[in-house]
Amino acid sequence: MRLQQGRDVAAGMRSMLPWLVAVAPFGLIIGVTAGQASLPSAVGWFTGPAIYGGSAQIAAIQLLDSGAAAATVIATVLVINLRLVLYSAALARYWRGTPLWWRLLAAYLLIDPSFVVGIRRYEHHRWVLAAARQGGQRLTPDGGLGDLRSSHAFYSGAAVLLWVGWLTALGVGAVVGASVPEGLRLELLMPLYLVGQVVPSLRQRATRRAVVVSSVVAGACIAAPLNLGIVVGITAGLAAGYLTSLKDRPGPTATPAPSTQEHPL
Amino acid sequence: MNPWLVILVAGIGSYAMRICMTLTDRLILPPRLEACAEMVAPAAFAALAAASLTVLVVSAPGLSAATPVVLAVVAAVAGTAGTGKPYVAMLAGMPTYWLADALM
Repeated sequence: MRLQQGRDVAAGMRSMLPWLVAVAPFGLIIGVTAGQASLPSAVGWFTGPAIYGGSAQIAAIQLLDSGAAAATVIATVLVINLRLVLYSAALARYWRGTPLWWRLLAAYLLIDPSFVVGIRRYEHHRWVLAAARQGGQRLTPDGGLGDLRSSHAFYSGAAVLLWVGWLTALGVGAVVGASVPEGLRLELLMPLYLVGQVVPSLRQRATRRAVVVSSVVAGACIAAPLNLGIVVGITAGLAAGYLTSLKDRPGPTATPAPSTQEHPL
Repeated sequence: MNPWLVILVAGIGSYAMRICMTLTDRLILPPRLEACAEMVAPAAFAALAAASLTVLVVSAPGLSAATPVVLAVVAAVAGTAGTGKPYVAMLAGMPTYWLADALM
């Protein structure tokens, strides 16, 4: 069992590697920002383990650097991180029944890449179970189909690697990031990788509509204060996707399938 | 307020958002919220990408500076749609950006 969990942890780490490539430049940029701010470098770096979210960290560093009030900095960070409540809600049903200490740690490590890598694994698990039930296959706790402990180990491996990589990138950015040529435009890596994550999910009509609406609204609201445009975009997209899913609701004999089943794990 | 303390409070608030829905085993999400939860990731990432790309395009000093960004996104979408591999977005998009930027 321990050997299998070790393999699941390693598989989670492998799944996180492309994300690390994508977010490392972002971490470098934040490190540089922290290093160039009037704050002590250690304060900038501390946003990593404390806030652990790139956009919110950048906002906090820039606001503190510009002398903003503490309440403004805190409110801004919380608004930017509002999406974490939705991530938490999405993972809650999978984490139900796990030890409290594990949930406390797993939640601390929850951020965009760990959420995407983790939820895909959990949804894949659910899809396998649904397919097995439909085929009349008998299920046992660890009878070859894998149970949630395997997915928890997968999530843990991915999330811990991301955390270590992120804090390392922040530290390296603060030290050497300033020498990266600006012309490379490495800040483009992050949105491009996000595009890559979204495109395969566009096959379902409801998800497609959610993506289109959230993109358009978030893009149109970039001038909104406190980065609220992103939260407004996500909310509008979810509303549009939900309304579409009501129209597309399958009949009682339809096969259940997660929205990301086409992604290999 | 001390900047260390500000960041610590912001961090505790962020952690509360991460943990809030997972702390109790008795929490059963309404089916409507469960249905929405499956779309959170695509919607969130679309919004984050759109906001970042819009800023890059709008802040570009002219059309010739914004075009490579747009071409990079087109290449990323085409590459990912054609292969089904998310990482192809970066492999196709960044070289497209560098090439278009060099030509313009």
